[in-house]
Amino acid sequence: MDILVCFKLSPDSKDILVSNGAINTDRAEWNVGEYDLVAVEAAAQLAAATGRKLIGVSVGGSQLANTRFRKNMLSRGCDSLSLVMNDALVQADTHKTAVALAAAVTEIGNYDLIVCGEGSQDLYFRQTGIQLGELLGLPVINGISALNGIEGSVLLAERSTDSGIEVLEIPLPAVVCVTSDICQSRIPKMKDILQAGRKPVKELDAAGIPCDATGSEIIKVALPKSVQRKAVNFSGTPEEIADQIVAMLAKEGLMPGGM
Amino acid sequence: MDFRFTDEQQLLAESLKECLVRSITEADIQKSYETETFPMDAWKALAENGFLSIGAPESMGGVPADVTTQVLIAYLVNKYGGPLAGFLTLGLTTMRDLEDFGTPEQQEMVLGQYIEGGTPMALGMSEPNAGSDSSGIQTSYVSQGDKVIINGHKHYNSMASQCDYVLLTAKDAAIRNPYKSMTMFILPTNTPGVRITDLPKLGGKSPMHICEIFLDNVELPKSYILGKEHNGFPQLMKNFEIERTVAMAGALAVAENAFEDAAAYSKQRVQFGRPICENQLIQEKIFHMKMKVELMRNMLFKVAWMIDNKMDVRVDHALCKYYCANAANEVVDDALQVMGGVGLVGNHRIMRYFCETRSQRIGAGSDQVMIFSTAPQILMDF
Repeated sequence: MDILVCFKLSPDSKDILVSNGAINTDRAEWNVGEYDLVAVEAAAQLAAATGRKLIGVSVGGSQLANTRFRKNMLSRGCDSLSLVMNDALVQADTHKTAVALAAAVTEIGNYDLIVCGEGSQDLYFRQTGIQLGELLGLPVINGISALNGIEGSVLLAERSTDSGIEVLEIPLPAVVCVTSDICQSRIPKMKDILQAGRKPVKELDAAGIPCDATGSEIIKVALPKSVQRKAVNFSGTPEEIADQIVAMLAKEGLMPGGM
Repeated sequence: MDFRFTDEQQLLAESLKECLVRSITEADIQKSYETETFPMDAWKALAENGFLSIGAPESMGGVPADVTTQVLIAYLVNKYGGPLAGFLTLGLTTMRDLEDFGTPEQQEMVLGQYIEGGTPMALGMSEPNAGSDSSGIQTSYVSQGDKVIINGHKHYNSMASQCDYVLLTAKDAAIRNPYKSMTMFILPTNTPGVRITDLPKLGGKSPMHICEIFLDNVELPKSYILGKEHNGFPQLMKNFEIERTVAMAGALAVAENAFEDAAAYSKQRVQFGRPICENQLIQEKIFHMKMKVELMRNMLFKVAWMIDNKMDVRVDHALCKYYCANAANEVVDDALQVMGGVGLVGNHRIMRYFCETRSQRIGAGSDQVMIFSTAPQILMDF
């Protein structure tokens, strides 16, 4: 059985231009965010330790045709890529993405583990992996902080919580979302980069993949207006300061519900 | 015309930058200057990630690379790796000589340890009476059966006291013609009779030592001759165009860093109630610095591309060497002017750049050598 790892191409945040409160990504380079790269590395380490193949999976627009993106992912431990390209999936919401991914992984088949990152670098909703598991009817657990191995059809994993570390045995097939600090992303070696161009990339037939699942619709993304600091100093006992702050907030109309 | 790097070159650049950013910080670099110690841990990280084997023979686990890729690597290591570039520049330079002239045993001896994070070969050519005129060396050897006895004195040898091997030139005492008497040797620095001392240098403390080498009846087996005996001068000339080009990757990287520091500082520094970047005299410097950095980049990678395409670069490489060395000095000087006192007092990297960049106009072919060796070539077309 293969391991699948999902990732998303999105505009590089350092290339995003803001003018008049509107966000412009026209000039931005599209890349895979650090959280997803960490997921790829965690999956690649597990694949290497268990002697399995790792298939990278992504759904999105024509940006997925970029050869540098493909070689980049293939230099990071993926044995092959399976991609769904349809412009209806550009900047899709988490539901639309998860529906397309579910159809894609079903077509790929022969997997018993799907690894997702903590969230995407642009919107960071942290929903896609969870919805993917639900749509596939598989166990899905997020917040995974260690992938320790596979024994038979059980994934050994850990999850850090406030009260300690949960040691998990997850029956496969399953979907897991790993934390952004599960490991460091890989520094691809020159040899891996040179070999990446020779690894297979499969473009799944988008006609068979639902790319327009109804979900939310993003009408506009805008920055809140910046406001000059008020530079008010409060003084007195803690109780007096608390009262002054509440009075100030009320005066500024920031407590519409009142006390 | 396509100015873009290939996918592979772009990915290599991203990967190398990430490795450098993770392995060495500005604080690490400062510490290496204060203690005059080469940052070996970061150097080994480059080796572990396979970056030192780029350009090495495939038989040794190396990955072939064209000159453009090697210049790109040198640029990045200079830009993000501080003193790591000292070893890398020597490594790239001498790797080519070993590949072109070395026996498999010699390659294994020197490159085997290098690509695993050991030391490169230092260059042992300059002497008190042989700087630009490398044929004027006085270090000489006499043959005794299957070994040679070397005597002489080298100086201005970058990092020789920190390297395990020196690429040494010496002339056969029995031959008068300097062009036909020079032989190249691989000299292990722990050979009896070899004494290496550090010289003081402009800018004071540095993790890249500049050395003097004294050779007192040094016995070497003839198997340590690199290439053919008495063929040292043509061997020396074969790769110097590439070596000068690789060296200028450092000029570009330092100029670019200095420009970036100055541009960022000009937006932060407030005088007379506004950032100094709003003053047109500062903007003129920003504009000129940026323009020079881009011209350096264009010239440098164009020459690398010409070499890869087997074009004649006798004129172009010299124009590039002269321009990059001088433009880097101008950019660093302008950057320091924008940064004012910050560039004079304290420990900002611009202070190191100001001192180190000056050597670019003297080492690897001085300004004057570039002009007198090239102007006649240019005039031949008319």
